[in-house]
Amino acid sequence: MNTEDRFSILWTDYLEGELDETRLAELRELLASDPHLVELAADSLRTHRLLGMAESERHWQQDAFVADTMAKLPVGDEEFVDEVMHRLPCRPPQTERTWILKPKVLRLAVVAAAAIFVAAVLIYRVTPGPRTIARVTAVSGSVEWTADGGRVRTDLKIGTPIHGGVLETLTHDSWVECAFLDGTKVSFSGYSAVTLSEHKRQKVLHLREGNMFADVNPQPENRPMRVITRTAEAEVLGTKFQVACEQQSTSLRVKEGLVRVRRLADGSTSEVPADHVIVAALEQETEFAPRPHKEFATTWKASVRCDIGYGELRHAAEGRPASVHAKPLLWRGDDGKQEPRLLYITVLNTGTAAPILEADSIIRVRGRLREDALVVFGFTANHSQGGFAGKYSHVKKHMKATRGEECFEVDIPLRGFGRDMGLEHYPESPVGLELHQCWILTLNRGYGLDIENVELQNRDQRTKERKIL
Amino acid sequence: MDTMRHRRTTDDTVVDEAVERVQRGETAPFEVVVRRYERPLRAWLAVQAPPGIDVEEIAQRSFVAAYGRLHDYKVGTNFGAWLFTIARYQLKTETTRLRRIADYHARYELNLLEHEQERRLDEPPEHQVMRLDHLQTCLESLGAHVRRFVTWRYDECIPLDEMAERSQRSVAAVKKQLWKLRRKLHDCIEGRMAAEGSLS
Repeated sequence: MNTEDRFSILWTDYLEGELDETRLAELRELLASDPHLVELAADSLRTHRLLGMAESERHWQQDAFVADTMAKLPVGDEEFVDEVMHRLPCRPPQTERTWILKPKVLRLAVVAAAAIFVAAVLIYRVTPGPRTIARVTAVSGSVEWTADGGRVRTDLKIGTPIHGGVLETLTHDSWVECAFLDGTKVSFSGYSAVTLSEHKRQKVLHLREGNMFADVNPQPENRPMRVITRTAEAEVLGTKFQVACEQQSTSLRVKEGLVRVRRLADGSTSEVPADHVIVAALEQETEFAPRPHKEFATTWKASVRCDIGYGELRHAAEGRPASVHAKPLLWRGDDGKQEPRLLYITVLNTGTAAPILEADSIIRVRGRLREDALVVFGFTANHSQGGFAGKYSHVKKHMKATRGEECFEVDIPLRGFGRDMGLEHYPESPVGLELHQCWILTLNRGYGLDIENVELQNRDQRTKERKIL
Repeated sequence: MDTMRHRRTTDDTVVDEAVERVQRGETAPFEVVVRRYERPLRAWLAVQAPPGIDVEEIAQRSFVAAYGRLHDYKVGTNFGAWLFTIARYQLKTETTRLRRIADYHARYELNLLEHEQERRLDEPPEHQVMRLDHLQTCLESLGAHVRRFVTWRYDECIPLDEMAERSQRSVAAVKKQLWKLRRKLHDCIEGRMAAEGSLS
């Protein structure tokens, strides 16, 4: 074997990272003995690098690189001051007392304040900031973010950078959407808690509970986005899907693409194609296979035991079916800044069933009420491609109390619902949207509100019902 | 990196406008700069960086450093040259850091090769983007039986023994094939560079 042949083998092994110390020493000797080999090596390394770049260009995500770079730029003045203010202790409540400062004291106060500010600035500048992995793109209701350092923020707004940590939506009607730097969007609604992280471009989401919708852009090869719940783990390379996570089971509905799901109870895996749903429960004897989802399901009937989103579950007893009793909730408005109001509320989630609302849909609610009361019937709707769309409500000012085992049953046509609180940023009509959750509430007191059943009916179902009757 | 020889283009004007806005306190226009220079910068770094360096990381650091010193840049001169000077320092800093790590010596360091790379640092950065474009053309001229080795090695990143299995050759033959392939592509690229140089 001549020198160049030997060199070509050693050099290829070097580029492949397969050279041990002895042969690395041999390669060094060869390079030292012949300047032509050094040039050959430099040429080969250059071509090798360009080939790596040329082949990776097909998968190169310029948007992700640009967004990631922009996120690493030092923050602007406004954001910087905001951050500094967050790092300072809270101001004590203001009192009516008026302070009159003497000029000398005032000067000292100014100097002290300036020193504190400079110190805060220095601390901020010296401490390396955490890396932004996503930004809030929409938010509604009470949402809380606990960053890695344990700092809690409740003032999330559009554009707030997320550096990883725990994101929680705290009420049945709260909702938040975040966009990762590669454009992948995830949203959480209802009572949800998720830990977000991203390392070397691999996104990992631990969904402890709640509802999530994800529109995932193509992920780097070998770095799929992972969504981990109590009972399942999903790996995603680029798709749209919806997850509903509960204590005992996780249901996952795929809208586009393919998702690989592993049931944690026994490690079995299944691939879920578009328009299919899979349920991963803790009980291993339950079915773990994708089932087709009727894309345009227009009916739904709640199973109060499984679909309860908020309220107190009352198990079936003495001939009475299971029901959800309204529980108190302090509501602070969509923006979390309004005067708190005491509500007694029951929420039922449609989970991955997500039926479509039609112009002639009706919502039927069956329940009990111990006293006459004003009752608000409402629902939250999502866009069919994911993400919160709006809330709609119908108020019955004088609902009569029911007696004993007697139940009320109200049928409310879809056109009877208006935009909740008159908020104009919700679509004017919910027709075509997906029913996400139904809620029934009373104000200030509970009035013994107890819900046995909620149903979404379409025209065919009612025609059939009438024929049977 | 000679600013005197630099002929201004529409691209330069767009970049300078963005830079001026950033100098006035905006952040968002810096995106124009990143989009304009990310490919040439990565291509330049890919070629110049010694083994073991994360090229994307250095590219990002260079942009962040440029943003931090943007007030030093004189609008109307050559932003690209200014950015590449910063990138060169970033690369040098990272290389120095790596050299201080014992593991680096054992795994990668080939002093003579690095000296040769440093000698080539004076090449205009835009040459690497030209090389990258020529490479695409050269790749198209390869036969499918040879082209597949490029896909396996650089796109699918499969190990040599699997390449040997797929092609029903020995591992040694695969190594030889890769060596020859790189040389052939190098000759093709440099031939095109020379032709372009003589034409201009």
